[in-house]
Amino acid sequence: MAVEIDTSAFTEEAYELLSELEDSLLELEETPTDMELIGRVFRAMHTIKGSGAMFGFDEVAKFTHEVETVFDKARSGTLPVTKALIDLTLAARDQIRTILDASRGGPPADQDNANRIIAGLRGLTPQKESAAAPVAVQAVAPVVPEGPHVYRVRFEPRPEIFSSGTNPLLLINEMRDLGHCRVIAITNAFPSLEELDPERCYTSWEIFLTTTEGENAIRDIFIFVEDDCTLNIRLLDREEEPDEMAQPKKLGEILVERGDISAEALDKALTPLGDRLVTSGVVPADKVRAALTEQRVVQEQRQQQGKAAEVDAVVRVPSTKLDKLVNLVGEMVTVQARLNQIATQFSNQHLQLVAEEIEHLTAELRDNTMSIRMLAIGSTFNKFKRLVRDLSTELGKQIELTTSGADTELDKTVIDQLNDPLVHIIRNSIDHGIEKPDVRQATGKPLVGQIHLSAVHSGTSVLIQVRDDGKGLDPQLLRRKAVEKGVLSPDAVLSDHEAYQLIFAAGFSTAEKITNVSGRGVGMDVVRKSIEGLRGSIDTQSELGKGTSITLKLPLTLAIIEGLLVSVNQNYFVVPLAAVEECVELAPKDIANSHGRRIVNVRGEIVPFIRIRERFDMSGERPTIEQIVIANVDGKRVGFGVDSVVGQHQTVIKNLGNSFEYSDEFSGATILGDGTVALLLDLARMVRYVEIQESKETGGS
Amino acid sequence: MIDFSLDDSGASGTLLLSGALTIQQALPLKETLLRAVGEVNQLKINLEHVEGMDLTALQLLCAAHRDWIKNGKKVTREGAIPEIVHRIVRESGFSGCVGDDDDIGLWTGASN
Repeated sequence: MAVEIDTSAFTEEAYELLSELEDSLLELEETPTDMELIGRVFRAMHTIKGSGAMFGFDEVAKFTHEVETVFDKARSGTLPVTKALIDLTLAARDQIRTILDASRGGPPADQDNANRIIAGLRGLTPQKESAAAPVAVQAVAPVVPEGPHVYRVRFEPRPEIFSSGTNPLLLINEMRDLGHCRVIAITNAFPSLEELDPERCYTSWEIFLTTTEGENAIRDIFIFVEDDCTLNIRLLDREEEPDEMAQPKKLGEILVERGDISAEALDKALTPLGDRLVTSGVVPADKVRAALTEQRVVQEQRQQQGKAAEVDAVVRVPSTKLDKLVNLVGEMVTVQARLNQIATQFSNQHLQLVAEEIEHLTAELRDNTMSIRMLAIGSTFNKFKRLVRDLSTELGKQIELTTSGADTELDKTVIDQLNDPLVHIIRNSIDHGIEKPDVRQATGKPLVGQIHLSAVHSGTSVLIQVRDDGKGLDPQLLRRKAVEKGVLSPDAVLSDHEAYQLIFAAGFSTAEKITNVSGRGVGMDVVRKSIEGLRGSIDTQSELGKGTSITLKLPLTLAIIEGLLVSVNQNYFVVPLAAVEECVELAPKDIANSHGRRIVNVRGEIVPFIRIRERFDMSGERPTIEQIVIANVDGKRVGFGVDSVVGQHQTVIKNLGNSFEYSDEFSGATILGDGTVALLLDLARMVRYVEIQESKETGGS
Repeated sequence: MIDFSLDDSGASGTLLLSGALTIQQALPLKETLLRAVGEVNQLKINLEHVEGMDLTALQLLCAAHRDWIKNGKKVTREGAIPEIVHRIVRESGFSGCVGDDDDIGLWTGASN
């Protein structure tokens, strides 16, 4: 059982590392000489390999080892970072993911693919190495589980070391494979030039190595020169007093902290101690330099450990537990509403005080719980960089993806369900929107097309926009295709804006040929359904020849919304408050003026409305004066006729369950303070169904 | 290649080093450096075409440099120091070994 838990901890971490690896590789493609990025890629693979071996994922460790070996050459500067290397490493990253997926019950990983990737990577390395017979994979050294630590290595070669053909600099460079090295050469033993024997070694070194490996790994490097040198290895940061950080600060530190002096000025003032020691011959300059380096390296390591401790403070919780918590909070909000109602009825001051306090606490609990589920949308954005890169290469286009608002937070449930719709929209932008380079050049556009992905908060919603600078939508072509496909009647009059919305109609596609990217007319229809399923809406703007932007408006959360409670014949409904624009009365004379049509005149503007009572075939008499709730549905003003408007209501949304499968004009339900159930109206869907029904009745399309 | 030439006046000279400076060239390098230290008060050093060096060359250059400073000789640099030389100096821990007295920028990695 314990093994099960550990394994899942590894796979979770590995998935995260793979995601980081992908981001780093894509960044590296832009700046192939960035050594820090190369180091990041290497470290991600090294950790996957090490942890994989530790947790028994031998296939992952073995495969990653091969990839890491090649990438190590890039790290040491012997292999340039080329597109081929990035392509193969990305493919390797996908392969590792497939192996991990397979361990979780997914389809088995394709070994041939793994072999192809490794062969490709080996082909990139210099000939003498790739020509070697298949090398048996080295046993993967287990990673020391603790975090990195600092060793001070004193390496003093014997003066005759050159005669054995040993190059001490190569040994020092080998240490760099274990971690970050600060190397100080101690040169105080140098005689004058005249006395110096050029074939003897007078240099010794102090090396500060920050590594996760143990002392044996360091000794292994010097194993063949044991008799030719003196080696002294000491673990530095672990020997310090654990409480040392808590010691009173030194005067200089306080002055720097208070901003009274700069750190540089302090250094300058403190330097004379070293200088004095050197001048008086107490200690050579190199030793002072080594001591200062030791101080700095240990300090840096402490800071890193501090950061790691901060990371450790984060607790991973399965999202199902979080969902349960949100449900419980939802129940509590409902019960609290009932308590409030009862307290008001009983007019008991003590009860009312308690009820008010519970109301306050519940609100705080609700906000806190909801905030736990909020995640930045950036991680979703990052996935699309790879999509754009791969698809644009496949289609022979040059496209740059830029993003903004990656730190915009959204409910985890919304983010999870947003991925597929965004993939469809971006794929469409790449396939239909952005032109090929020759076409762009001919029309005077920059060769590289732009897709901009942005997220921004707008009240209780988040607006996510995909904007491209491609060829834009042609409203005439959209109308013609819609008529051809029977989606639109030939005599229908549509504004350009309405014509753009046709791309979301079922079975509609203007692609000249079907590619494996898009053109089957399925994607965008699914997009609309998914977004509406999230209680969101889509708006399309376009300019022919200039580009298209598709904006998704999504609620911040799916669990609790602000609603407007309305009633029809003692039954309650909730209209999402975000969509509501105003409420107007419908008097008998207004009904008479409309000659049987369901329209209302709002300050001279004619607004169509749907009577909820008629729509759901409800019994009971209509009140003399009806209330019309006017809402914005897909950019149009539509009214909804109800008996009365009860007021604003914080709605904890409950799923309706399978028995309501065919009643998709309700997107959920909520329980009111007195235990009554109110249904949440899906306005967009209701309007669309009514439009279809009316067009059938009038014989149009 | 290791070459030391005096100018017409004989008061200054130029030390030109190129190619790979390894243990094979250690002895001729020491002799040339001694000549350069002994013969002139002003020395120009050119490392522009050095393609690599090992510890023997680093030790010799370091010792010669100290002698130049000690004897009050004026040393200047001619041409740029190749990146590979900077890297070797850095990786072998010789950076900063003579502090502020590095007129040629070999030990402090001063820009070319």
